Amino acid sequence: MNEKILIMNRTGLICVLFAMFFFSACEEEGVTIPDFVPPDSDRVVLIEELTGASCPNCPAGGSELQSIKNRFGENVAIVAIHSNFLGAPRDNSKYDFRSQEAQEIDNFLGLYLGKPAASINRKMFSGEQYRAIANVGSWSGRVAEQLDGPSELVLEAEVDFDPGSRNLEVEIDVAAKAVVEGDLRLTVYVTESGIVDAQLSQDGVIDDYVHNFTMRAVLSDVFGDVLPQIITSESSVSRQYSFEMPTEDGWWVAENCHIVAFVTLHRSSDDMEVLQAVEVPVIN
Amino acid sequence: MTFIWNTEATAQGDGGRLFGNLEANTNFYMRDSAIGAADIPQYDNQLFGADAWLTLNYSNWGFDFGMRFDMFNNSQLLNPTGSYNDHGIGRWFVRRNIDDLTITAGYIYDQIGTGVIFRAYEERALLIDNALIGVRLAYDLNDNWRVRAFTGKQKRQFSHYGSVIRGLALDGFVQVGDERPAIFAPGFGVVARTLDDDSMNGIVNTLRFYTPEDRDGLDPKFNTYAFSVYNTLTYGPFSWYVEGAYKSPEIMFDPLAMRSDGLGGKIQGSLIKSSGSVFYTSLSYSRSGWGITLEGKRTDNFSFRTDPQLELNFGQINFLPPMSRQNTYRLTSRYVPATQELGEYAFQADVRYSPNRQWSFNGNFSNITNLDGDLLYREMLVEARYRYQREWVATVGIQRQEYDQDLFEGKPGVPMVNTITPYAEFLYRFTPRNSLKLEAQYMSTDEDFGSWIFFLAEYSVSPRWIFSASAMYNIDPTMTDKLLYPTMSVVYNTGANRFSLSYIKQVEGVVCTGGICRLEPAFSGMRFSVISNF
Repeated sequence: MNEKILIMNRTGLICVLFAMFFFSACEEEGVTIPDFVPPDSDRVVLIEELTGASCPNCPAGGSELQSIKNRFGENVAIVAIHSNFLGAPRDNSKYDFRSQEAQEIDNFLGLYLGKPAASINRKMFSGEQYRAIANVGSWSGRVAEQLDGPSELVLEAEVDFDPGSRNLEVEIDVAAKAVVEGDLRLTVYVTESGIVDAQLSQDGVIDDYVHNFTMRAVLSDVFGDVLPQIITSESSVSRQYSFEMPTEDGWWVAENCHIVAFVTLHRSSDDMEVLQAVEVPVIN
Repeated sequence: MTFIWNTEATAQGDGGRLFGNLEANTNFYMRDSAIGAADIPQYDNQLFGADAWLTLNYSNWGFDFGMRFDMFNNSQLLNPTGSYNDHGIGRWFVRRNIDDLTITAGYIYDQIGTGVIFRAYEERALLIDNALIGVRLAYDLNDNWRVRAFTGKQKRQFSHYGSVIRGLALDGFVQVGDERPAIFAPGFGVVARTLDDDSMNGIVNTLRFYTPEDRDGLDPKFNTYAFSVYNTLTYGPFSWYVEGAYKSPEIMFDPLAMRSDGLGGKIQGSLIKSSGSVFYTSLSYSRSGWGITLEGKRTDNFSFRTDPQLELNFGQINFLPPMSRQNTYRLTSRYVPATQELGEYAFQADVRYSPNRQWSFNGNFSNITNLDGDLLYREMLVEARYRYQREWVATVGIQRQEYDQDLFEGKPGVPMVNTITPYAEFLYRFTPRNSLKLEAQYMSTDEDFGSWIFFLAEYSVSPRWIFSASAMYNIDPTMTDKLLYPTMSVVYNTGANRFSLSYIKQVEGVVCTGGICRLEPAFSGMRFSVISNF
């Protein structure tokens, strides 16, 4: 009898536990998905996309970046970096977009799940596995997060290109709205859009794919030129760069090139963030 | 509701027991661009990598304590194309039995049924370690019935994911009849996952930018529930396992779903919302030299993760059983189908027959399609083995495969890989301690890398030494030159210690454990491994 009571008590306990589980499966409050409102921010968010000509999913990344550019306009500066992984040109490719600098940037940004993967302001977002995010659908949301608030820095770029000599002169001015201090570094890229060449896709090779935002050169140190530890509104910093653009040969079309410059704050080897970016065309 | 269990457990130091094990692997990378072992940090700059796991267990005073130190230096395990560095306590736990109650706190490994709704496990080859960091209670209702409950967060390397997981399972044992009993082992389980704010914000921030048409119906919920009912019936020579699982509707990522890019075009890869189901059954018969196993599985939208936007092997709460044969020979195991969590029909039949002590035969057939009936994988294998006294054993077999490489390896546009692979193995025992094993395999295919041959010679001096040399040769290549991939290794066993040193050239391929697979790049270099138990 005691054993029967014991079994009944234990069975009752089980029923209570199961009831708790089922009882907890009540309807929950719905989650509101806010409509997108174009940001009112002076911040320019840097997107560095790791991509490659042999990456079959990368055309989807390219489409998403074009959508982001349309959606956020001058609030984003986009760079497509063709590093070695899945970056080899196709058999019918005219160009090889890979470079030593691209691979160094790939290594610097850390591990990533696969391509395409995009680093948004080089920030390690809470809940993300890696700095370069492979979930293409989440890129817009991360950009919107970064535009939530003004920039601490003011970045201006002046570009002078001589079509005859192909000489490019770039001046970057960095000023703070108040005080910014830390390990600050300035990086300057040359990007080019509108390059037509082969690209692997989910449906095979696209012979006349249009490659946009492609990183063509790094004018600064790959890991950024070191800036003064403290920048204030009254102590701006200027850096000048010279670059001889190669002869136009299907690519290196100056009209399609942009200068992308950005300042990164390095808190540690794992913790860094782009404070501000600027993107200007080589030919206005 | 809070559970408080008070007990007056006196600590009696009757002499504790300390035991554990070490597994350590070191890689010395040698760049070889001809086979594709290049252009990643290990081959270009680092040249050295190491992984190690040191496990310590201690039992005393009625408690079990355990901890494990994990170390990864320039490791390829987390990401085969990158370099992972970290170290720390990979696991710790405390366990105590109090009458019929077992309490465990810390990093917990467990599963419900076959793991369809929950499995926390470790698989080092793929660096899968999704232990639950939390509390587990197991209570014996009587000798035949046990209830388990657990709650916690899933481990992520040396951190954890934010979502909260809780589960409850009831397992039993019922015998009907005495002379020829039928034995039932029924079970029921339920698992719930509550998203953390970061995961939900990530979903919301993704859906914000979908067009209204693509977003329609995709209202995310914090809570998802998965239920499973299962039973094993054993009667005489028959054993029948059946499991059915259902998951409540939730947001998931479908890599094949299309959505608008907002520019008039379409992008592949989209969040969807759907409920999920799995039905799995396995029927076995074993008697008089016969062993027959029939398995069937249907999976529909059963991706269950700590964060629905995670991909590949990350954040998986459950484990879907694989439905292809676990092959052991190098070439017959080259193409392995990864489990498709969003949809597949799978069937497998395995027949073994041993008419006497000398002969044994095996036939295997497996077939996997998507839910539309498109073939994803098919395998047919027959094998015969003859054992001559204790002197030698000869095995011959042939395998036929059809493998959707486009789907399983993410290589769009490539054709279905069709292979025919005859193989043979001969094991000869010179003495009870000395033996020689020879293997020969030939894979004939016009797809992927083309045809291969493989030879292995392995000499064992039991119990201490194993010397082996093998070569895999791309005899009829379609993508590269005719390349040789040699491997030589020495294994030394002494008591509880095992040392191995290998020189390896390995072609890129798929590494799978169960149905969980990952594409691995080529490997070139030396590998030294130690396994020690103490």
